[in-house]
Amino acid sequence: MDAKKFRVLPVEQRALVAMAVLLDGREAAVYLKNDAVNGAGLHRAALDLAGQPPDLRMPFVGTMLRMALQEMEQAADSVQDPVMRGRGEVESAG
Amino acid sequence: MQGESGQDLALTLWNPDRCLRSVSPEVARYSRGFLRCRPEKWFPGFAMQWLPLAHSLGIEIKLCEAKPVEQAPRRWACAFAGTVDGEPLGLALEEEGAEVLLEAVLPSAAPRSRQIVLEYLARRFLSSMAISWSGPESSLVQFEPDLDANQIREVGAIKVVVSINGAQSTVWILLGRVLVDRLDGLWRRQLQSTSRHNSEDARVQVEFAHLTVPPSLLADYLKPGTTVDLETPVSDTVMVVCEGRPFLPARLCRLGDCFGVETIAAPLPVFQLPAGTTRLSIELGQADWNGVFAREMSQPGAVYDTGIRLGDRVGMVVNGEQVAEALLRTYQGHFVVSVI
Repeated sequence: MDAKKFRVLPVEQRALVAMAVLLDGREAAVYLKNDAVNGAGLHRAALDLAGQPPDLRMPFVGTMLRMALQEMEQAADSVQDPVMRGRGEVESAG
Repeated sequence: MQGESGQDLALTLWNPDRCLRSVSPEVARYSRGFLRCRPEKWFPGFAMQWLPLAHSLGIEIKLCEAKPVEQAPRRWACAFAGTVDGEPLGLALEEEGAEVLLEAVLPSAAPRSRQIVLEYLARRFLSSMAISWSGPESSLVQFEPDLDANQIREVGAIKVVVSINGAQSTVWILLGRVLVDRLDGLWRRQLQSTSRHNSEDARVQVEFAHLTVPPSLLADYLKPGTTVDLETPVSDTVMVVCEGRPFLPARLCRLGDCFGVETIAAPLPVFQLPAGTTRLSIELGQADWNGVFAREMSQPGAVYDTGIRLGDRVGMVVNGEQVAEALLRTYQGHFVVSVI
């Protein structure tokens, strides 16, 4: 299961496309096509994802959505808790 | 009742500034077009776009209302932006409406998933509108992920109420001036083209009331200083009359410093003129309406700017000719006029 056109998208768009395909299947590509910034990319990615073998599509798309959401949560957590570098050096100098 | 000039009647001033509802110039401008339109007529296949999704989710979706309004409330839980031929358009949901949608599509979802679902549904809504549009010109409709819907200078909005499994959710479509002008013009053109018969140009009068007076007593009614009871309760109701017959039921409003006339939905009375009497009408003013304008004004809610400054002066008219001027007053809940 390649879904190359889907995997190259930024994480927010991957989550969007996965959610769209879970809800609308191949039709999702139509509804995503009019994006002003990356309509063509979203359209291709949706077709890519929806083009998976029918018996595997739902679990695969569900997994892709879960992975994208986890990635987004991790990115949000790392922004909230930045690693404090340099404190140990100051303390040892003191 | 008719008072002689020597009698001292306790008349009350009629103050249109206080008695009449104020209407903004924007509302008046769009009152004959955009604010009267029926948007669902332009999107006949819109509901069909949602059937497959409703079926797969096992939910019932029904369109309850699509109504143009002058302004949407600004308490949104979420808002998204798009463009139609480069002109901005917003899609906004209040908290309650968003909850209804999410409960149906993705119950008990985490916050991030909820946001993604709402964004996809907004994209889907916009695309559905573009696909089902049946207007005369096709348009380029795009979802704008980088545009802030809160920055859209809204001139009008469309309130779309949908029922999802029996619970209602309202989607607000925010429109800027160019899109409102476009829909305004489209509705007015379609109104003309679907009119059953060609409306002719007409001279109309805005009347507070009329009396049927024996000709022999007319001079007494018109004598300066006379007070005449119009036998009409004090209200903002007037009648637009054409060729001596009722044309449109209406009410007065304030448009800045001038009187406005707003068509209302009410039955037209029949003017009965007993034999041997003359119709004496009490008029605010007269106007020439072309057939197109008359057709537009026939819609309840349509507003006409009379250009007549607010005041209490009225004309007393017989057979289309003003024969006296008077001041509008009130007495024991009735309109009366004092002839000047």
